[in-house]
Amino acid sequence: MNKQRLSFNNIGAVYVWLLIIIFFWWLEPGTFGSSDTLRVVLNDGAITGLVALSLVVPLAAGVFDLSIGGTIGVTSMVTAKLLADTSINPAAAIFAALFVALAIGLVNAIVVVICKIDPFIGTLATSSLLGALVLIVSDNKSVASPRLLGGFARISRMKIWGITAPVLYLFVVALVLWFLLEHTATGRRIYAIGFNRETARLSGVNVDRIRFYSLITSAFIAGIAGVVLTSRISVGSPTIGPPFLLPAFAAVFVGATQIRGGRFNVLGTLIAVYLIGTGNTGLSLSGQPLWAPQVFVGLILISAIGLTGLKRRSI
Amino acid sequence: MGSTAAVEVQCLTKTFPGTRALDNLSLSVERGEIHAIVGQNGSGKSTLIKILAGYHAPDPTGKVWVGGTEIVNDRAAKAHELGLRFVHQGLGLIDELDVVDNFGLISGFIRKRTRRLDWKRQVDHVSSQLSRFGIQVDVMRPVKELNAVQRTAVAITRALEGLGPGSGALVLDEPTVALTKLEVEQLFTIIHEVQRSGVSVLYVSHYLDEIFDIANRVTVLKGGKLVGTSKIESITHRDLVHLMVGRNVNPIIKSSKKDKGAPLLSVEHLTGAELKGIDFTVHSGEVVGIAGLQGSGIAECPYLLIGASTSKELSLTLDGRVMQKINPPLMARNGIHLVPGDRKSQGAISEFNVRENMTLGDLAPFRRHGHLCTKTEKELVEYWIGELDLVPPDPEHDYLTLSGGNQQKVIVAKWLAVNPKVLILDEPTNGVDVGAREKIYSVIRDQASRGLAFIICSSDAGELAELCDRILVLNDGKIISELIGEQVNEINIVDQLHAVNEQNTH
Repeated sequence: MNKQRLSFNNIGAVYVWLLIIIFFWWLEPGTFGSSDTLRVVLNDGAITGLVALSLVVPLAAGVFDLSIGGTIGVTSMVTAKLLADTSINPAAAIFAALFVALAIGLVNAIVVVICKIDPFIGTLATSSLLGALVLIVSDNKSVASPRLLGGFARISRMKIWGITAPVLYLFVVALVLWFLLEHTATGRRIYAIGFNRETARLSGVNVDRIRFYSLITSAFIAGIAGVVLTSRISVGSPTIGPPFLLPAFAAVFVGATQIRGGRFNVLGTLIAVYLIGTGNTGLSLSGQPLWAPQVFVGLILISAIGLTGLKRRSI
Repeated sequence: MGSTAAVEVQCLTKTFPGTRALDNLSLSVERGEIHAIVGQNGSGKSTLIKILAGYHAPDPTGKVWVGGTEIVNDRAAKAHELGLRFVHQGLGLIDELDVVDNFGLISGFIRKRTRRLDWKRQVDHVSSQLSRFGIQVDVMRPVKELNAVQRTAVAITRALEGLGPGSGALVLDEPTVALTKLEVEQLFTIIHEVQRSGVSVLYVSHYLDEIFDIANRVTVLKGGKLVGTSKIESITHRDLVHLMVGRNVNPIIKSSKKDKGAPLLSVEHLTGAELKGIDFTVHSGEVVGIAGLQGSGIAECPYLLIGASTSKELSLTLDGRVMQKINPPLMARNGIHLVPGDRKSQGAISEFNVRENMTLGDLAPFRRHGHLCTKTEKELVEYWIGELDLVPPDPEHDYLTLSGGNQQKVIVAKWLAVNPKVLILDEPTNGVDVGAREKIYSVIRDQASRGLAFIICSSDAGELAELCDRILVLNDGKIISELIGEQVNEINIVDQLHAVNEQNTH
């Protein structure tokens, strides 16, 4: 049993991660092979990690949420605009933004569960609406303001031993989600629905209710990511959300091939996020061209799914 | 060694892991005859058809001849060429496409010299083929607009495409399941026309009365073996039933007087696509069987009862209280659960292990301050593993790699573990080996003696005879008889299942 746990099949990504570290260390011993790199990787990956984690619960329940990019954009804009144009304190602005995120999740949940629209299509539609909303609010202009610095910026820039606060937020969210999925009855039911909705239904699981809340959860965590991101760059940007979508999905899918063999899971997702993050950092430090990181992500995704033979469940 | 028959098989055996579906079967369909095949579920009828159609390869000892030519290896294509044609259950038509397209799918299209499809000739050809059988339809309309017998005619005509005159054999597999009595007569006219044109017919059906109307000879299969072949004039309905059930049936003595517990669940106006409104009551500690064959409504019955599909007029009274809404979670909360017939897609979750599957029915007992306690789960799971003798007895074992019988044990245990009041089982031992079957039966009997009520929906007469105190026989959507106590035996069940039904209207 122990042998299986350390096998390539189970934690192959960790081995690949080690290979990548060794490779770049050899390639760029000066820049890559320093203790700063570890911190950079950790810090850089935190927000992607949050976005990726937002997907784990809905995907485990078999629900695609394509609107998280839009949610990030909206919460970023809401936070920035509130701070720039009004005098409310940062905490209130954050609460407002998270409240909006919950509302977005509610809309998604209504569209998918109540109106019975396929989640893939439904959240694709809402993401388009959210994109429009961002444009309306921002007039396609970034929002900068001194109020986006100072206290608000500290949320993402506080450091302990060189590690920024977002890593801590990531850790806390990861812990909560891990507990939910692995150690609660709800988590068991979430996986049941994701694997076989009809069996879950016939087993007495409240399928609608769990799918409903899964979409609210993803929007909420995406909202947290949006707030933290706005704090980090101290700008409310209309284009900030969508670029996170692909890396987040890639990380969750690669993560599903690890640790829990076929189940979307927290630890696997984190490993995948940092595997990709390490690769990206290594690539940029060794001066590889701009397209290299995207090639890297694509290859990792293909090989992870291909090598572990993860069956593609029906969308 | 040649063959003069239209279709002949010799020493046909088919072994699957754990079971022998066909056992040294030899049979011949003479040229120009309509030869019926009857037998219970599991008798080998469908395996025989699948071997003839090339879906399965028989064990090496068997031989198949079509029109005097032996078929080896490349069975399906060769058999089709030699004139062995099929109309399978469900007809194999695509509803959204029109008649002409459905023809083209199998037989190809007529083309002009320029390789363009020659629609006019194709339409004329299809129309004329159909009018041979007295069927006048607009062949450019989608198949779904045709009625049942017209669709069957399309499937038959399509199957016979390209047959030379006076040759060929047509296999019809349960062709009358969806037909009204009137439509059955129309179909028989068509079949007689087919016979007149020189094509032999192999007719598989469970409606014994029809066999007497249409067939020249009949063969009875049981347990993969041929137990009798006869000219239709020389055999009776009762004889057929006896042959189907077999001579060595252990007469299970059922006491006619069994103390019935209190009435638990009353069902009124159970209607569905096939069910035409049935009523019955289940008492605590009672094992009630509902017997039916395909088309009787047996398939939809358990799902309507549990509320997985909606039955508009259904009224359920549980413990004297009328239930306002009927859906699976609500029924579950009231102690009524379903063990589905389709184990693979509805019974359990393949990606879960034994423990996770067994506890899915009710996770509440294992929750401790929000935390799901695996240790407590394991205790319960190990108890049921012992009760049902699961192999291997490991709670963490994958579900998917268990044998069919053990998979079914897990599912049954899942529902017994929640202390239900009524457990509905749909075809409970489909694909389950003998050992597991006996174990599940003994657990059912044991639980019944403790007050649990069972409703077993099945087409397996032997199983129902062994398990049930009382059996309701479904035929064409209605309960045509109730067998109690001493009446509960395999012969009576099979007899009733295959009985003539005067009402046969849709």
